[in-house]
Amino acid sequence: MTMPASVSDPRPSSAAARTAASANGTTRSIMRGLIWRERQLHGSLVDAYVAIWVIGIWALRLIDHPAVLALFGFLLAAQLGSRLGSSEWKEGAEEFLFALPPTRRQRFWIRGAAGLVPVVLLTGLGAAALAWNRPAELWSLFSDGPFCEPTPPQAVSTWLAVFALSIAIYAISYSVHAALPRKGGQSAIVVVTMVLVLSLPVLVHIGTTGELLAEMHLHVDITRLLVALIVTVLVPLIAVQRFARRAPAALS
Amino acid sequence: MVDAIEITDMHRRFGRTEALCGLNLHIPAGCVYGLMGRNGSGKSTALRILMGLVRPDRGRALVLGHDLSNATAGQRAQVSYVAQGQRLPGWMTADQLDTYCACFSARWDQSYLRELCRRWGIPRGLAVATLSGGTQRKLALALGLAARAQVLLLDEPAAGLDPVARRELLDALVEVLSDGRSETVLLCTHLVSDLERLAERVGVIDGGRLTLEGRLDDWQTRISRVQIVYPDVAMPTTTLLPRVLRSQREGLVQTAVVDGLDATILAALRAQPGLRVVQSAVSLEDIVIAVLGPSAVPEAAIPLTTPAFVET
Amino acid sequence: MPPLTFIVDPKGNAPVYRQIMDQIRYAIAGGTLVPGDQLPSIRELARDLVVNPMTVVKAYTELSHEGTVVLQHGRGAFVTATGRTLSVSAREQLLRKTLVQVAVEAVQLGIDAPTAARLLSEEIRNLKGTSHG
Repeated sequence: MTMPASVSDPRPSSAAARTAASANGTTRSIMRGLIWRERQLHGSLVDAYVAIWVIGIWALRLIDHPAVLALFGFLLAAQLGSRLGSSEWKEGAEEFLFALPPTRRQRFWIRGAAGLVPVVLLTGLGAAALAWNRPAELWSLFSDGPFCEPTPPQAVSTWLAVFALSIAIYAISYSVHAALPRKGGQSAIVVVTMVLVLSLPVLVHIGTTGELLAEMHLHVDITRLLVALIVTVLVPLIAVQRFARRAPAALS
Repeated sequence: MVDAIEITDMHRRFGRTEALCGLNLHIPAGCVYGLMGRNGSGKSTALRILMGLVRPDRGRALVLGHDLSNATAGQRAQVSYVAQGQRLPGWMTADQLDTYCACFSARWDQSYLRELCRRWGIPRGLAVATLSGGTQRKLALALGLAARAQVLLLDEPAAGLDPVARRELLDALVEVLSDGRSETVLLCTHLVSDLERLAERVGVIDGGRLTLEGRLDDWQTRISRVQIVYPDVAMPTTTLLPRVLRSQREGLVQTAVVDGLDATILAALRAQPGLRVVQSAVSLEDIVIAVLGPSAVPEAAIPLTTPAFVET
Repeated sequence: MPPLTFIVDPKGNAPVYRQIMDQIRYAIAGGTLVPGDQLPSIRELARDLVVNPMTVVKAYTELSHEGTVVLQHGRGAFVTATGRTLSVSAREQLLRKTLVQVAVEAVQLGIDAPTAARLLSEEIRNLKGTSHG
């Protein structure tokens, strides 16, 4: 039985409200909404890392060695990955948040990409800056002191490895936390996955085994490096996302 | 025409508990459906499966023809879900939630949300965590209504609300139903009196499946309580009663909730020697208790000398 | 439109739409509503009674089938010349349905037919009396 329009009052007009909302509901606005929330929640953490990055690499030149940059990058990646991956679960409002229109897929990829940006920028630019001695050159414009000391020389591939590893850690941390937000011991799982997935590229990049491989007439070049990077980032992301979709996601 | 809500042969087990075993529920578009059942009978699980929050072991759950766990954001935006256990993000204010939710759906009605906040006394600039439990619930409901969805899934929406707030919610639901958009509402509640006002169809879920279902009008017309006083304890219980939902015999008195007791059967009963028969109305709550509860109908015994329908 | 107060008891012994119908019929019989009067809009009545608007729709639709009211497209529901569109026998048939219950109760209470008829006449007289008050 449909309600006969004849016997009802004219509907109060909310046409104005409707036109104003016409920009909502698109993928762009969904991105805007999701990223806004993450920025509110984790913005200060990222700001802190940016501050450390500025001070560490440029101002006080504390980050001067790939190992130190690696520490910085890995911490950033792991922390950001874990926070973003299980973002809905952290505040206990997951039932409300999951019921909102954005799909699982949208949440996973948009949020993942949003977290990838600081990791890529900070470690990537940091590694590039240190590899090409930018901090020392910047300081030499102003003074003559110890800060002008050039960065100890490293193979480019070492810096690249730090960059690649940070991204890989982010990808794995994010994916693991997104797939298993409620189980404990995600950190352990991340570490284990890291070891399994990355053992080969790590060995190849860091050098000593490079010589071994060189003896075996294996050459490591940039192309292969990039392929390895792409594989180590995308494979865990996709694999874990598929796993998450198949696993029963019990809320209670 | 596609049903608004379609649950077919739904099974779901949590550990050793079978929350749903073979639930079948079909709700046509534009219908207000009241789902009643005891705590733990599977109502909340069914709704969660509909929303795609929980995956069923077996069976299919569709809303407006879509499986929401696989649907697009636009399709998901047609459904609004407000549940008892839901908590809102504590750090966000009502205004922030307004802007946040508005991003996700073209139908979001910000002016309506502001209107509801004003009417229900929800402060818009305070963080949710600082609001009282009742106000948080009201805000969750306001957000659910402001989505202007085609399908509303409400799981105990009035739980924890004071009577004034409950009435405000009912008023809002009546208003939403009056706007001519033929929303479908699935309302799970223990407050059966609310269903008596709003529901067109009702169903009782027990042990993970639907045990009784029908139009509320039909139930109210057809189902009644009858009390029969036998002249003799030894006299066997009559078999003349039509479909009996629950019956209890204590000595001389039999009390039963029956479906389809019309004037003919009543006359036949009264024609039995020595039988005194009193028929009275039964509220929806009584029907549900009769169907779900123990065999004794937990109501004060109707005085035998009072006629069936008492004038007040 | 005359001020009307409807009261429905959702827990009552009859479905809400039937209670609304009964009250409208009562108001017509008692003269509170006269032919030509407009009934409250569906929205208004649903809001005042806090019931599903479809219930009001059903009540109005049933009343229009009976001939008690007429639904005018875009304008509302109006009281017709009461039951005039129904034949005498049709109207009597409607009344008989309510009288069955009265008869049952009369027998239950041990009240004989003439007394019951007398009580009914008194009630009708009271009703007609208040309509002119």
